[in-house]
Amino acid sequence: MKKMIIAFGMALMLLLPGIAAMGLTSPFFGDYIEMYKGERMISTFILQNMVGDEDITVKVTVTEGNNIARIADKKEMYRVPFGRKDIPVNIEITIPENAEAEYPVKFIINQIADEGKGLSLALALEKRFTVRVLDGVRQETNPIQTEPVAQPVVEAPARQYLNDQNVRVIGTLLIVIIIYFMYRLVKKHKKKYNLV
Amino acid sequence: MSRLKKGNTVTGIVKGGTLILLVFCLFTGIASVTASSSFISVIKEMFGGSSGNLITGRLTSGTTGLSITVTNLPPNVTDVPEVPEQSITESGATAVILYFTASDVDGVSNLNDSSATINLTTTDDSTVILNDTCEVVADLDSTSANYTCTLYFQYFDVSGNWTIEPSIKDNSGAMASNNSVNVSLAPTLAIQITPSSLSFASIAPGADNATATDDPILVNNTGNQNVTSGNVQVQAFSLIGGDDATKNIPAANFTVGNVTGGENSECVATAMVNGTATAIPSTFVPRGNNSVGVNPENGIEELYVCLVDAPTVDDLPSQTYSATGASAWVVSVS
Repeated sequence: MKKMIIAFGMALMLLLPGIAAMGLTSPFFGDYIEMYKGERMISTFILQNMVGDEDITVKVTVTEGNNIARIADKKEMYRVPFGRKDIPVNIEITIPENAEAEYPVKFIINQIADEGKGLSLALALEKRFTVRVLDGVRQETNPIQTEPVAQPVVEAPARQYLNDQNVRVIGTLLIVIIIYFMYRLVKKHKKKYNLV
Repeated sequence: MSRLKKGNTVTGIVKGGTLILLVFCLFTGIASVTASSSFISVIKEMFGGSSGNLITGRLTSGTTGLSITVTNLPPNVTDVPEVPEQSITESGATAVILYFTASDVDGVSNLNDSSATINLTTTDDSTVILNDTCEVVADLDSTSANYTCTLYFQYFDVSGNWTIEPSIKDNSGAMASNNSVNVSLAPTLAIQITPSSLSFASIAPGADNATATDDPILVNNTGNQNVTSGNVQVQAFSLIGGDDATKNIPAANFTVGNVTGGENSECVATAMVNGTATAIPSTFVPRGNNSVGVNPENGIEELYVCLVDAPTVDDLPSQTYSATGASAWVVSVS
């Protein structure tokens, strides 16, 4: 029986650093963007490595929507030093003239696990979004929409030079000037006719 | 000529200039004016006497009790510069330095610097970040000053537009605020998993329901995007023998679940498929404050791994079996 017991071990050692972590910031809100037929744009996603204490290397792969989306950086491996949150991943999207109504796009960020023994765990982030295709041509005043669900930024209103306070002051000044001249007129009149 | 300040009382001869000042103050609200009962009669005399005839001419001046109390005018928040889009820092805080300009016609010294604050509020008012320790950058002129405040976005703060609302009081407690500018917080999908490897105790060939000794795998949502149910997946690979690579423990012999218990619930959970990302049902990781406690509601999910069925002795010679490097198991979220 003892002979039957064959031991094996997994994960003989913990791989450094004991944590797998990363982040990916999107250039738009929600899960879709809108583009016009024949249009081309580059969406920049940002990688970050702010947890742990090790540099990481990730592999970026477009797994869905390859007919319209590709990595524009001419590489698939990205090194993300620890403490950085500004490593761009540029995805180029080109809509053909004979485009369909929409295209699903998916790309995966795979963290490259260290070689070693045992059962290693790696982390992957998937980003999925839909490209909705619009008819027509984008106007100059209608730039590519990269934040489809974000509420528009409220522009600061022009400073109110004629606010209530100013209107009251100006109005009062006019009234005062009129009263002043009336007063002067009365005074002059009195003097002229010696009515004191 | 001394400057008239708040609370001053002026008593004197009412002449044309003074009259103008009184009317001006009354209409603009800059000052409140009270007068003795003789004041009205003096005015009447100046303009023509009790007969009402404007040209009767009696007095060109008179003396009466008159009190002018200069009232306070509230300050204004006149300028809030635009702020570029921000992003969170995974599992941390992101400092946002904001500025604003405030003015007070009563003089820059009338601005109560210690009352300067900024609120950051989500568009639905569900979350507020407050900074009540703003500082003066500099006085810009005799009536206005520039202030700066540092606020912090937490990693779990919702993405979208946030309203910047600076406010300040003057020394009389009158307050001004301005909520005309927004700052956008980008969505960030960020995850942390621990540990980075699993181990099992020695296992006999043919053994059933062996659980990992150092699970659960903690999946922390360290960003501000929700990971909804079905979007946590595990891609498992068969464990390959270290000495004899022809022998392996198939990935299909493992199960993964998000619960455990006395009867090893994870051993009747989701079976893995070699090389295929497999969703773990009912597993979700919303954005949340991880420090509150291990709970999906706080953005932390647990995964448990079970070797349901070890191969028989012929297929499981004594050696180390591993899955590392390109064969490492992948926990993926979307």
